[in-house]
Amino acid sequence: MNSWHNNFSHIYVEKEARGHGLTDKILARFPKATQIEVDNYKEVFARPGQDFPSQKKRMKLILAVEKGKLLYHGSENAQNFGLPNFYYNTLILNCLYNCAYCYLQGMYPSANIVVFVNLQDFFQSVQKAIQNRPDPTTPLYLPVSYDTDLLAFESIVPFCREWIEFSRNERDLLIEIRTKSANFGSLEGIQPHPEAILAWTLSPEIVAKNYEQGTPPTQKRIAAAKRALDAGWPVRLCFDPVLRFPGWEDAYKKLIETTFATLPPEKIRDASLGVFRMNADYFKRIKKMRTDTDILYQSYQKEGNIVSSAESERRELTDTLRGLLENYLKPDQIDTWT
Amino acid sequence: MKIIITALHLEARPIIQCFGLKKDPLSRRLPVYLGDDICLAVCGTGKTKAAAATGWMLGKYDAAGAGQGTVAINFGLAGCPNTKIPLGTLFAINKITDHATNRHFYPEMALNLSLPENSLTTHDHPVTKEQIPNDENSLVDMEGSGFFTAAAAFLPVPRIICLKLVSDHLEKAPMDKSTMISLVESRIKEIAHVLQLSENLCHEKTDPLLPADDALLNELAMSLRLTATQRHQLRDWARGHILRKNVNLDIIRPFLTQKADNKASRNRIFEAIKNELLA
Ligand code: SF4
Repeated sequence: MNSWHNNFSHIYVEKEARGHGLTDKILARFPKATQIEVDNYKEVFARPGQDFPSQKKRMKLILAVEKGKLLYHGSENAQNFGLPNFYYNTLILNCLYNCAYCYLQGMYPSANIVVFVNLQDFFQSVQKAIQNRPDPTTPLYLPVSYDTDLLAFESIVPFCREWIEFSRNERDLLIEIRTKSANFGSLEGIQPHPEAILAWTLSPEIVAKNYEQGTPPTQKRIAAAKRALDAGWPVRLCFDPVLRFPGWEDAYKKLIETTFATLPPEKIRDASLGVFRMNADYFKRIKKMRTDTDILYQSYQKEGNIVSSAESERRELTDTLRGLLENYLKPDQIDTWT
Repeated sequence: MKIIITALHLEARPIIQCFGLKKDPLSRRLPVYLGDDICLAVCGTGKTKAAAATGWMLGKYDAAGAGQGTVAINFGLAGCPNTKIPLGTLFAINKITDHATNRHFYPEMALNLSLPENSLTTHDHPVTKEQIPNDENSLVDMEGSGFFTAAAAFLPVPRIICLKLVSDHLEKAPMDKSTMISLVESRIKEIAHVLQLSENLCHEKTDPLLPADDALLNELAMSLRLTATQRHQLRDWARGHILRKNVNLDIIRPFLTQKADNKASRNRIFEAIKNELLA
């Protein structure tokens, strides 16, 4: 008998979340889970004294209603592809995967996963923002899988499907669903929508293996992106974070060659590129908790409140990657964070 | 170290006997029983006594400090309004409500203790069935919230466990002591199993700095009279060195023989150590 509980052995349900269709669906998906009622999800999620790495090994699910902010302005540390009306939302707090470099470890007090079930409220907030967007000549750009991996979660909560259908009915809305999963199967059968970008984060196999715990191997991600392309979806490729490690140049060269050996470059919508960077407070917090990965112990520097490689190293990484990508894509198809 | 808080002697007795615990003669105000890696206190009835005893026990017996290797367990009898639940059922508690303040506390439920789970409401006074709402299934006790609040001030939540054994269905007539003791005795195997499983909570963290590395770093810090910040930096660099290169700290051992006569020479040696560790 396993002495630890498995993921989602317990589901905390906010009183207000009861009665929402999504709550019922999710609970039906885990009939054996112990349900614990909570007044407010923060009682569990934000209680002091939690241990993120230990919780990550046996995540619990929390179903809640987001009563606070439903839409945020996009961060300067994220690429916006030149679109000024850049917003994001957080439909889920935390992620199924456990990337060693993930800033969520420093951002949240808990590794448990919160799913907000009041989807209609999120939709309404986006509709309002579309009407009031600062630049009416460009669409509202909304990555819906910004602080999580929504597609990895699709078989538990069909958020991607819901957002694709929502965006189909909204003019002036461009959504991005970014993922490391190979779970394209759960979107199969949905009519592709040109304003719903499916974005795959690709890393050299050694990075996926050593630092992206729980994620599928890169080859499987590429295969999933191929199926999406074949089905007619707009596909974005993300090389982010680009990491520096012994042999990084060869590893990224091989990654890009392998990628475009499978994916026809002319069908790729665009690509994004960014080196490792993290809010300094999160970085400090994560280092205190995680003493099991060398990725947090590279020669980073602090500039303002961001921890990253030195500028010369950042340039070297991005220039190299850009150069490799430009063998396949046009320069204006590549959005870079340095 | 497992620190067990019970309210009554009759709850503690089967545990004391099972693990051969010996009374601590030095603990006069609070009856404490000690074993190899178990400390048990009999705190008396009520959440204030439970909180005080928990805090005191953790302050005194959490040898490693900051809860490394320490688990706190509250075991006790509880009333159960649901008469369908048989007396003697042992529950792992997944939610504790303090009746007076209506505050809720959530034990972590990391370990699979192979026990049924229930919530618990801690009251300030004994209660009877008539005082509990009809649909209430939560167990009733007088210590849980006090224990949990105090334990959470010292330990990370995953190291706090609350176990309650159903001793009555909140009838007015109290049960006799010997029956209660035999109820506890009937569950001693499960309690021992929980104690054994709780060991897992103490071995979760992995630090590449082994005790030998710690000793070397401490020796260096002492001999060079490093400041607190420098000690912290040294540990950080050392950890990174081990993780990146998968080696031990032999490379900085020669610095043990170097003497720093003043601040400037100390800083020079410190810089040289840094260069070795970050290379
Ligand atoms: S997939 Fe993204 S959100 Fe999920 S753990 Fe990895 S970096 Fe974090």
